[in-house]
Amino acid sequence: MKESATTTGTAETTTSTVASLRSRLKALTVGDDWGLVVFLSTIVSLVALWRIGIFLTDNVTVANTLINVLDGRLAIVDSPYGLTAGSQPGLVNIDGQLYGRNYGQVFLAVPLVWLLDLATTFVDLRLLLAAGWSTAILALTRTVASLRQAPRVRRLGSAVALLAFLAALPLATSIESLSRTTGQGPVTPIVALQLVTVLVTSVTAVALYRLVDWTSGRRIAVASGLAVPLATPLGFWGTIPKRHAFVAATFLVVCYWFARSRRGTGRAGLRYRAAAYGVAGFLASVHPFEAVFLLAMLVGFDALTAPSTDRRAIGVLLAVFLVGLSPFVLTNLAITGNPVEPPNIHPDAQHGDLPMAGDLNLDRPDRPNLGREVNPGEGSSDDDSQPTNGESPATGGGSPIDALVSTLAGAYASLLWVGSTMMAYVEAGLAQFGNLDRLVPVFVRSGWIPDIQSHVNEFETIDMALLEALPIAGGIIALPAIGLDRLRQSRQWRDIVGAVRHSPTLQTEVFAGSLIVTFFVVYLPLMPNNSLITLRYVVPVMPLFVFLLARMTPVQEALTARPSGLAKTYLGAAAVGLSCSLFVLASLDLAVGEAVQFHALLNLGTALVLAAVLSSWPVHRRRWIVSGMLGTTAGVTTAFIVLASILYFPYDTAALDLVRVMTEVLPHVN
Amino acid sequence: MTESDAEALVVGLSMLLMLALAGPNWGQTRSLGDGSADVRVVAPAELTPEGADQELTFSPSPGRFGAAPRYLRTPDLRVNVTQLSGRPRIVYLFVVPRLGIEERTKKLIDGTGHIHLPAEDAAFPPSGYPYNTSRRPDPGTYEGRILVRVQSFTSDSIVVNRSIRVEVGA
Repeated sequence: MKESATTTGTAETTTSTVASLRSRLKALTVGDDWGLVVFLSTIVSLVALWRIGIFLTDNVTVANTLINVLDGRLAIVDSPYGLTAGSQPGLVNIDGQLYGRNYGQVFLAVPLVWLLDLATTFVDLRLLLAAGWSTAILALTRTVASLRQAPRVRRLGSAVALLAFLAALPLATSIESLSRTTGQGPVTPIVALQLVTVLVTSVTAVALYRLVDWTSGRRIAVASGLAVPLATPLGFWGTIPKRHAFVAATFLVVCYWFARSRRGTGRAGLRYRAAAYGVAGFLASVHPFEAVFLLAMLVGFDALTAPSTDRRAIGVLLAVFLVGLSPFVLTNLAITGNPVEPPNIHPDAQHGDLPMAGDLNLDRPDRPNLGREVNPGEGSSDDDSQPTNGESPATGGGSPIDALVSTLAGAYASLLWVGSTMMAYVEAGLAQFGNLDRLVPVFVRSGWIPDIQSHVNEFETIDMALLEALPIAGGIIALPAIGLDRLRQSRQWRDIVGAVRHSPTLQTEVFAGSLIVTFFVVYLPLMPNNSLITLRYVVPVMPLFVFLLARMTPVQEALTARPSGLAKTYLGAAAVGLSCSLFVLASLDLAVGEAVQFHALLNLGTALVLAAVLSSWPVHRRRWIVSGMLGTTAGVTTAFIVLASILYFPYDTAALDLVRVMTEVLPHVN
Repeated sequence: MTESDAEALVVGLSMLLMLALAGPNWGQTRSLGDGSADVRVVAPAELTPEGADQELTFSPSPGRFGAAPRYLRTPDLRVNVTQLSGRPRIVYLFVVPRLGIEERTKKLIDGTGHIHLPAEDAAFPPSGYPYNTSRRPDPGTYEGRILVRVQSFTSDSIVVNRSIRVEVGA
């Protein structure tokens, strides 16, 4: 009797330990069950729209980098992937050795390649992806059902998940036979790179959810988190392994930890602060150029608004930052010998694709794979002018002290050069204000843009302006009107600075706004450009637009009302948007450029109406108009994201056979 | 164990079981093989055997919704496959060399019946486009060709081989 009692006691203890571990893990990562819903929803929608293959030419470089890293080296010796021979933008030649890029992103993908290779010795990759998608649907519907006390949702979800997998069985087609762009390379590294991007984008959505939850409340937070894959271009870029998804995740996570650490005295606050510096450091190994601007902004705002900074805190921040920076430093030491000089700015490098200081020509971004035959002979970007930072690191010889001193001197010189380059970019950006030829196609209306190299994309007008790609940003136009209204109501004219000093939320808003402005200023000389599609250079700050929108009074009032009508108008608008677009596509036989411009006009119109509705909030104060317009804007954006992913840019093959088969019966784009 | 846990377990285990049974090579391989097929063009009418003496002339039409000024609308091909052996493919080629237009669509023939081969429209930049381009919008008449072939590793037959004219206005 006693033994069984003890055994039962042990079992109960184990169960409760597991349960408490699970809840702690959940609280640490997604925050709560609704955060889990946001996470899983992002995965489900991104995987549904996922195409396995290579979309932009510089993905080739990253994929080849991964293959070589898997073989244990940083240099690129094997290049099994390629759209056309020799076309690998971003490859760098130092001392006769070729090196790749985005090493941080590559390192993250390595464990996934191992897992996938292990799994695919036993199971089919196609079926594995289908099973993964079905599992995500299952988990999602279970969580929603338990949150809403709706067992019918759960049963329906289980049925859908199982049916989706069963349907995939007869349709399964080997990826290799459908993919043209992987060339001679294996499929699992491509899948791994893309899957990492999916997970990273899901982190972005969760980070936005937690940020808005902390500042504005649960319901609006869920809407914001779901907006990331459904109503921002991250729904399109979330499966394409470029830096944009990573930078977006880093920005959102840093903003969230910044927000949490403003109030925090004590260890929790310090942990959040340090973590923000850590991920900012890690970003340098993915894209040092953007990481350096993030770091500058973070240090500036942190210093201005930190609750308390003593020597111990600075020590912790520095230590965590250096840990995050270590992949960057270590790869640089191995490749260029200079810890802060990545391969593509090394003086001896050729084929760099980052524009250099003093020669801010139009950047030559990479070509997208429009799902067509690619003309051979499109070379990689020109040699850009090289930085003149004088010192090159000593190679061999001399005592260890000499080597250390010259490395440090080289690092110092590089840092100075980085600083002056940043200033040059900011100056060049600020000089663009007033240049309507540039501002209009970037912010308002694209259409045919005369100055960009459209022949790279066969003259298809596929490069959208901000309001066309992210119609929700139209809401930001109403910020001045809403801000004035808020000030007038609270009579806090004189105490704005005081309000900011004491409000972590306001501080985060200013931080987020400054990140947006900085990004636009820095990239303005490089936009508009070919192959940006949805203004992808500034995609990382697009979730921050959603954050700022969520902080606006009319949005808060509209979405916290019960019921807000947001979900219904969103679903209706998405359905109408999709069917209308397909109808127009079929009846008018549109080409890619025409289809994209159709959506551009539709999105622009919606954005302007949203701006009008929000700006006039002080006049009408009707919540249903605001939530209705928000839902409509998001739904119209979803229609574009879905069709762009599966119809307009149909490279290679859809990840899910169900989607692949469905696309074959839809009208095609010419 | 709650009902929801049981449900999840059932779905999860079923998928796992099916994954294991299917094995690592379940996906069909769709790639070119040997063989040949009997293919008849159904549309456009000018490419059918009945329309063999109709002229094939194309002119660019304006782009819509603010897109590039003019598009040459390449016709979509619809064929009917009557006899099939092996796995050949259809290749539909629309080429106008002096305009730098070469639109090629390939499709594997999986079974008899109708097959639809869309061809991408070719866009012309407005005159005065400053960058180097082979797609000239200069006015004139340009010669081209439409080719439809059935290919496999063991055969290559031509179904349609017609010359075409493209008239570019001012």
